[in-house]
Amino acid sequence: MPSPDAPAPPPVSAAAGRARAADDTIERFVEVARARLLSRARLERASVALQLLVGGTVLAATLRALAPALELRALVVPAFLAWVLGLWLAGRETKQRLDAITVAETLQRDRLPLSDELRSLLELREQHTDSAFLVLLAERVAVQMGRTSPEAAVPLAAAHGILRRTLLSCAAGLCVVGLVAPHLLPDAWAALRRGTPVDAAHPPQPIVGDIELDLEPPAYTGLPPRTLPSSGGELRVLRGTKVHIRARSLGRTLRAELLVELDGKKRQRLPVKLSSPTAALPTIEADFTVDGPGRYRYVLWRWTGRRVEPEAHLIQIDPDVAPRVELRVPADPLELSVPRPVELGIEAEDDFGLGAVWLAYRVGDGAVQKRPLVLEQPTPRRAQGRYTWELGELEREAPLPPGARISYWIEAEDNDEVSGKKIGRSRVATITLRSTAKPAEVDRANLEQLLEGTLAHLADRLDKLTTPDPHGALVALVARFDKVAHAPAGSTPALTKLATDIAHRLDRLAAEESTRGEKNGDKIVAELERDVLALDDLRGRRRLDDMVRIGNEMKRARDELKRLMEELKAASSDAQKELLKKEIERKLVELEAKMQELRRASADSEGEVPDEFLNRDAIRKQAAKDQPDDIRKMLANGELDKAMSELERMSKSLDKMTGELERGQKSQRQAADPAQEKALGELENELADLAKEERDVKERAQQLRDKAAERSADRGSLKQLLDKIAPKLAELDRRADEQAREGRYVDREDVSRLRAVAKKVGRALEGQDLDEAQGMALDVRRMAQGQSVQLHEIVQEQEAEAQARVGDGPSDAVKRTDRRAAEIEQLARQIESELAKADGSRQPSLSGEEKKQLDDLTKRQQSAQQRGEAVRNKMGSDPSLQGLPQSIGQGVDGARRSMGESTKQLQRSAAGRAGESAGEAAQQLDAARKQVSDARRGGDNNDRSDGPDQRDEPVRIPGADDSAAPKAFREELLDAMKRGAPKRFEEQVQRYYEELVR
Amino acid sequence: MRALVLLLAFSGVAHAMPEDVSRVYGMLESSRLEEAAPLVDRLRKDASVYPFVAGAWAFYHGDYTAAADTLESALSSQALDPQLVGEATQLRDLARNNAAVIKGFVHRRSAHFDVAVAPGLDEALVGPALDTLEKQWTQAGGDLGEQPEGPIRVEIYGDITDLAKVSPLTVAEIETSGTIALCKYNRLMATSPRALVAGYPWLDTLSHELTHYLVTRASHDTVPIWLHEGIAKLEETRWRAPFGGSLSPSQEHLLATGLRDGHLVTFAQMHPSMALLPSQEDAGLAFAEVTTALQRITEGRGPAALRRLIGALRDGADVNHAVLAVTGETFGAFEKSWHAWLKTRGYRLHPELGMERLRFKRDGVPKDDKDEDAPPTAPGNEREQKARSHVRLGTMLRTRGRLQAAASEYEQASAIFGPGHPEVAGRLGRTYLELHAWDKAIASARPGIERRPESAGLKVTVGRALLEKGDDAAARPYLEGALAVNPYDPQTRCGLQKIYAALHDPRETIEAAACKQVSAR
Repeated sequence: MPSPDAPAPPPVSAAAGRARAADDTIERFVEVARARLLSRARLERASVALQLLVGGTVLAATLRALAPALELRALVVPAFLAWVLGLWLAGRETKQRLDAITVAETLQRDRLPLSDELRSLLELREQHTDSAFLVLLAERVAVQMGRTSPEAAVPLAAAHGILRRTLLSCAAGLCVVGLVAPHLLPDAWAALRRGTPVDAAHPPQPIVGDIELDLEPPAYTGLPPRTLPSSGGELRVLRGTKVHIRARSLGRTLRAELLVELDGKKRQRLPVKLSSPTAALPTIEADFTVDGPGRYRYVLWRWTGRRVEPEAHLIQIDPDVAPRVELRVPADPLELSVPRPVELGIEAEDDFGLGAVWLAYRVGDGAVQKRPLVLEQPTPRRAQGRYTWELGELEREAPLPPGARISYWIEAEDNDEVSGKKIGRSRVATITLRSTAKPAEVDRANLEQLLEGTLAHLADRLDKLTTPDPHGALVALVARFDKVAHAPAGSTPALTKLATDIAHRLDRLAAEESTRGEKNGDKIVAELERDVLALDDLRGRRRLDDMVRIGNEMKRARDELKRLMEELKAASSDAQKELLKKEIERKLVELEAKMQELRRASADSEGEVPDEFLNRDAIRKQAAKDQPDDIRKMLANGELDKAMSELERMSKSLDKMTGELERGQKSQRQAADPAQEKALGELENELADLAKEERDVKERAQQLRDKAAERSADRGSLKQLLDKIAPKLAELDRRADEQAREGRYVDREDVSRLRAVAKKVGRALEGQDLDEAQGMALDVRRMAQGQSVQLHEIVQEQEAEAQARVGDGPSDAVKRTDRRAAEIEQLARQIESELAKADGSRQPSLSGEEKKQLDDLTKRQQSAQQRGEAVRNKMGSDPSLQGLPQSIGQGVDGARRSMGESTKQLQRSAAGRAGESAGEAAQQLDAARKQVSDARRGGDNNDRSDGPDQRDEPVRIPGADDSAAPKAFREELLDAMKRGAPKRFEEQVQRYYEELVR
Repeated sequence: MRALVLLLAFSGVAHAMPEDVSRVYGMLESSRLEEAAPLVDRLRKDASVYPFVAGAWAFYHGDYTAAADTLESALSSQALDPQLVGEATQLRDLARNNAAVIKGFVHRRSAHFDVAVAPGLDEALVGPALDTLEKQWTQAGGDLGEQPEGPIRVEIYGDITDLAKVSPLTVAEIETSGTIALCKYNRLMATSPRALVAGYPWLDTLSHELTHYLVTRASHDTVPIWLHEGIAKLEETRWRAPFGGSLSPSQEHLLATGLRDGHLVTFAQMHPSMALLPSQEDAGLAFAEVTTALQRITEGRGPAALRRLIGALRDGADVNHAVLAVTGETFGAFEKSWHAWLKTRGYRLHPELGMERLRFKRDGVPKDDKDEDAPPTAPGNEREQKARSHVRLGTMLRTRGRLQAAASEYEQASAIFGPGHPEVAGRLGRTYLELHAWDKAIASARPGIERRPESAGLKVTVGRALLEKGDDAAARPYLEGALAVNPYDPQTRCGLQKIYAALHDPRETIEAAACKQVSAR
């Protein structure tokens, strides 16, 4: 609202109002005219652009028709440029703003009646002339404009007409192009998009041919250079492979280049050596190193122009995979009461070469520690062996806490010097220490308590003065024995048995005392005296057992030292030497510690172990004489040979000392419990005899098998059979290898097992054992079938998911793997079938004499089986054998089963298999005998695999002896290789044999 | 077995020497230094030999540092006769070792002796040693007609390693042969009883070595080894007993066994050294034999027979003629009559005693409660095994302070073994001593002394029990006997102090000092 003090606006005159109305009219007119003028210009330019595009296309089509070999892009690009130019021209003025004077000028050019006056008016206004004349002129122009519409002033019909004509002519032009070069436009489109022509019906003509590739794999692989003649040019090689390409240009060529496009890298133009520019089909050669996947193609300059190979040659990288590492352990997770040596089975394999192998472990969440391993390396690609991991070494700095969890695995690196060394890892296994107190300590504490309690009660009885209630004290003592006898855990069987016996006897005497009063006091004293001596004997045995254990640990450390010194002597690199020296120092420290422990134990045993069982003087002298410090000094002075001699000397006296300790231990046991010692001795002898018998049966059975095979000339037929199936086995192995490499949908370990068993088929045939070969072939087929079925189920499942629109369906990779699995199964079936066919023809038909021998052998085995049963029964009934570990009984049971199997096979005349079963029985009996022997020496082995007296005994891998290919087998194979194979399978068979002996 | 080895017989002069030097050296070796003096003086002008002779002279006089220096300069002068270089080198090294070993030793002198011991505990040895040696000088010297003015040097080393350093023996040889003392280089050398677990009859040993010294001097080192050892054994107890000698029960057992089995060591087998006999049993038997052979020679003739025997040998007679001269029998006839005589003596077997063996200390005293002077046990029959079980139980109870119960177990063992058994007597006696049952202690230990007179432990037990009962006179021989084996037991030394004080014996001062010294350990 205006202020009341503000001056009033001047009154608007009628003239001014008219002038303003005129201005509005003019302004509206000019604006509409401007828009129409712009539309007209666009139409006209669009017509021109279309004419240019179609004209260019017609021209290209004509040229394409005249010269089909002309580079397509050479045609398409100019046409495209012309079209772009047209568009630019068409759109150029649309970007400009026409001012009012320009509009007036244009209208003047079009001779519009009011245009002169309009222009004058606008120009005068531009000069800021302000007069009544201009007002009148404006009114006049406005009046005229009121009579003329802007649409009429700027007509668009002509422009529309031009456009219509242009469109018609374009359509005609395209028809011409379609007639003249029907593929031009699709090709052009494809060329613009992908740069390659799409013409299945008329494939482009190749410009080079006869491509040969010389491939030189990287040095670290150890692979020889190879030539791929008559190649399509595609490459599948290892990274770092040097490629020499030799080809022929299919026409006279002035010069050439090789375009190499590796993924993620800048395109390289490499020089090509041309044999002769004038030759009709000159040779072109080029070199490059493959550093990744991609493609390459030739570019040639000919008289007719530049020619590029229409299709690039693919370069694919054959991956150098990380080593495959397998770890075999006694059990996973393995639970131990005390840290004990643990046997590890290790197998590492790489496709080209293995580097270092380590044992990696971590305790709890601690840092990962690594320990280098030295394994047998039969070939550069494979390492294998067993390693006894002294878990006790982890306690060097501090004892492992109860319940500690140790994770461990094996790592192996390859020797890839191009892409960098890759590390393969085995599965992770774990060891857990039981969180209970150490059984040896519990046992010792129980023993001490019982001994002191009994001795005190004996003293009370002898004194007849101090104890007011001897009977009550006796009852309490019985209860203490009873508690130890029935404790669920802690005491060793020997103590448990002793406590049980004493509790029983004292209980009876206590009962008598309660009824007869003090009349049987002497009997009780005599019993207590006997019990004290028995407990003291057991304590003395413990002491001696401990010392024997320490002695054995020292021997192991000594052996390890020897091995390390030998390795040090053979070591070539400084780094390796340094590592070995550190390891040797650790062993020396360990040896020193054990020596001190032994001295302590010897001193502590005074009064517990009688002199007749322990020569403390010898131990003291040994400890004084055998100081690892001398060896340390010699090593520091670089006198390795001298150090080894010193170790040898020390070694002899250590053997002597441990021998004496063991003899003392044996004598002590003999003196303590002659009946048990006798029973154990007999059991050990019986098991040894039975094991020997089984080894003999095995040998005889194998001799029979070999004889029969030789005599029946079956060897030749089996040899032929092997030659026949060797290519199939090789093919199966190759495909399984591919399968393992593909790896995503199969369990590599399953495939490895399949390959290993398949190799055993060949070995069995080499060993003239058709039964074995058939059995193995059956296993291979079953495994292959299982894998195939599993994969097929995956494919079906994924297809079903796709149908249900919940998945994308099986990938190409899974389909490929599935197909390959089916092929492997097929091969396995063929091998199985071939072997089955041979069955009918190979029966060696034992001679009469051999049949008799086989019968005799069967009877022997039956008799041995009965003896095994008798041993088992005795173990169950003889009270002196009650405290033995259950595992001994289980071992004997296993041996009995194997003997039964052997008998069965003998009855079926399958001497080979019978021999194997007998061999298994022998092994089991040997193991049981060793345990009995340990029990005789250590006496107190209990059922826990890691009892206090087995602390030094490694936890072994069950059946680990079956893994490695024996030397004899390798030699047999090498002989077989010398005998040759069918010509066309020579290479495959050769490779297969090589693989077998790795 | 306590082997007392005379090294004179196989020492000799290892290297060829000029004749004059050899004569001097022989005199030095046979401890006749006063005879050697003029000869040494005569050689003074011969620069090629005198430095060696002077060095040896100093060494045999006990001036080890001067000897080492003299021999060192002689060896470095290049003027020394090449024949003497080897011997000079050995002697120099020996002198150096000697100087090092006895450095700081305490010397105590008596009329005829100069005893050197390590300062400290071994000073407690000096009084009894000088007392015994003077007595032996008087008695044995009188018997042999050889009483040199001296002073005769006596060195007592703290450890057998020291003995090995100053003698041609190694530690292993000492341990194996049980050699504990030597008479060589014009001195007596012995190991301190503290080097052994249970001590040893060290006073008899010193007397034994002194007898060797006297025989060597008197005979000009012409007495064969068997005779040497026989005279020394016969005379070793003369300081405390009348002439005639005696066999210990263990020696008696060895001889009785040898006679029963028809296995005796011949005199020829004893040459060149008793220490070289194949076993300690043979050596023990040989010592028993030579003792009895000398008893036979001197039977009815007394010590004069020894003097005649030695005189004949010194004057150039061989042993056959010397024996013939003394006994009127040829050597062969003497051997036969001696063997026949042995069979008439009625020597008894003592199988429970076992073989006497010296137990050397290493790295401290053993920790077990073993009766320190009990012989090692051997597996026996079931009865003995049962007895040993009782001993074992008794020891377990005793170490836990259950003395009455322990005594009960030992008594059961003693009932099986019989009184005085070496495996029980000491243990039972000591247990009763701890229980203040004096009479029982005496009754338990005394029969043991009869079987093992060299046992210091048993003697101390009886001696102390008698002392506790107030019978000082009866206690005295037991404690003196214990002192002769183990001079470090405060019970012995303090007990003797008390007894000597009561008797106003001048040795009271010595024992008072010793009591203080050994009690302070």
